[in-house]
This record gives sequence, C-alpha cells and structure tokens, in this order.
Amino acid sequence: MVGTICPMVHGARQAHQKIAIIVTHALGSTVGAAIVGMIAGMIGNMLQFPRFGASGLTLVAVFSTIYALGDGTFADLPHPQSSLRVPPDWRRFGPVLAALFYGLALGVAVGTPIQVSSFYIVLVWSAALGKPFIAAAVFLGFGIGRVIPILALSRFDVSTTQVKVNAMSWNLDVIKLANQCALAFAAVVLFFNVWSRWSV
Amino acid sequence: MPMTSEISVRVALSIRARVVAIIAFGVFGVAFCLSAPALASYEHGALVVLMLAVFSGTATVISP
Repeated sequence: MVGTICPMVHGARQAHQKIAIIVTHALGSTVGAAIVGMIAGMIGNMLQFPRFGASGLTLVAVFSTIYALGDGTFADLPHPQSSLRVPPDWRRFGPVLAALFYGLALGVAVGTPIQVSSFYIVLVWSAALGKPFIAAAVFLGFGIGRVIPILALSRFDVSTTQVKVNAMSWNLDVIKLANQCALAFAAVVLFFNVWSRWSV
Repeated sequence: MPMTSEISVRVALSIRARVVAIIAFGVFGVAFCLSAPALASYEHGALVVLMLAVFSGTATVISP
C-alpha cells in the first residue's frame, strides 16, 4: 500500500493537495481501525466474554506466547487473512477521495492481507476485554501505525521514495522476527496482568 | 548500475538468533512489569496491546 499512496502524494501538484491526500488517508485509516476495534469490543460484550475474567486474558497471553515462539521459527502457524486487494479503480474518484477510501478499507484490515500475527492478538484481546470504546482507542493505534511509514516516505522525492520502499520491505524474515519479539514482550505483560488479578 | 531490488539487503536469521532475540524481549517484558507495574497492568495491559497495534499497522504496510 505504501507503494500506492506515496505515488498519489507525489502526483499531487500543489502542496495543499499533498497534505489533503495524507490527512484524508490518515483519517480513513484511523476511523476504519477504530470501527473494527469497536465492533470487536461489542461482539465480546454481547457474548459476555468479560464474565470469564482472567481466563480470557490468559487465553490471549497463551496465543501471544504460541505465536511469539512458533511463528516461522518452529512451525508455520495459521494466519487467517484474505488475498483480496483494494480495487485500483477507486483512483477514478480523484486522489483525495481515493486516499480516504483506501485508508478506510485498509484501516478496517479484516479482509485484507495481514502478514503479522500481532494484529490478531489485538483483535482477540479487544473481544476478550468486551469494552468497545477502549478497544476502539487501542485500534486507533493500528490506523496510526499504518500511516507512519506513508507519512515518513512522503517527505522524499519519487526516486528516493522508491528506493526506500524497496529497502523497507526487503526482508519479511526481519519483520516477522520483530513481530515475534513484540509478541514475547506482550505475552509477559499479559501473564503479569493475569497473575496480578489472581493474586488480589 | 544495480537495480533497486538488488541494492536491498537480505539477512539470513538463524533459529538460535531468533530464539535469543525473543527471550531477550521476554526478559525485557519482565523488567518492564517489575519496574512499572501500574503501566503494565493499566486496563488489562491496554498500553502494551496499543503498542502491538501500532507495530502491526506499520509492519503490515511495509511488508512485501
């Protein structure tokens, strides 16, 4: 996606149009992500997951541990993801509206290609917590995280951006290792939460 | 003149290096919980899950 939005930014002739593309994409991305978080929290609430107390959090911590240790190192664990792509013909709406729609579709994330398992841990945690507004606030982070590389790369000219896009996506192995490290850290903190709830 | 794809660096990561890195972050997690228990336990670990959310968003965009 970084290879789609950045050229749209670079294609803008005026500075204010570049800013408008980035801002609308960021807006779409964060709103889409917050909607998913809210829906996950609402589903968790409707199914009364919070009633299970620390058990739900334990489950998330266990999943996090399994994916931290297993994902790509000892086994290829399942990654539920879709191979669907955002429609390229959305560009006909013009760069600003297209950036907004792409942001919304990709911010929602469910139904798009997701390479890292940490997204699913966030999703399961949101459902287990069963608090829609907190889940939405946490999912805002996903939308913001999506925008950071686009924001960073939009500062450069077209040729430099292409080199940097290639350099950033050079090795899926390194991205997966970073994902495993983040999951290991999260698993320890979640187990600490379980322990502190049981010890009270 | 190399193509941009040829410029990109490829790193082969051994399983041992992976395991060491994962354990190191686990230990870092323990240190975080011991040094800042209020932050770690805020709203059932919401802050660390927020960190995961930001990471997964960025990683999704830069993944090939």
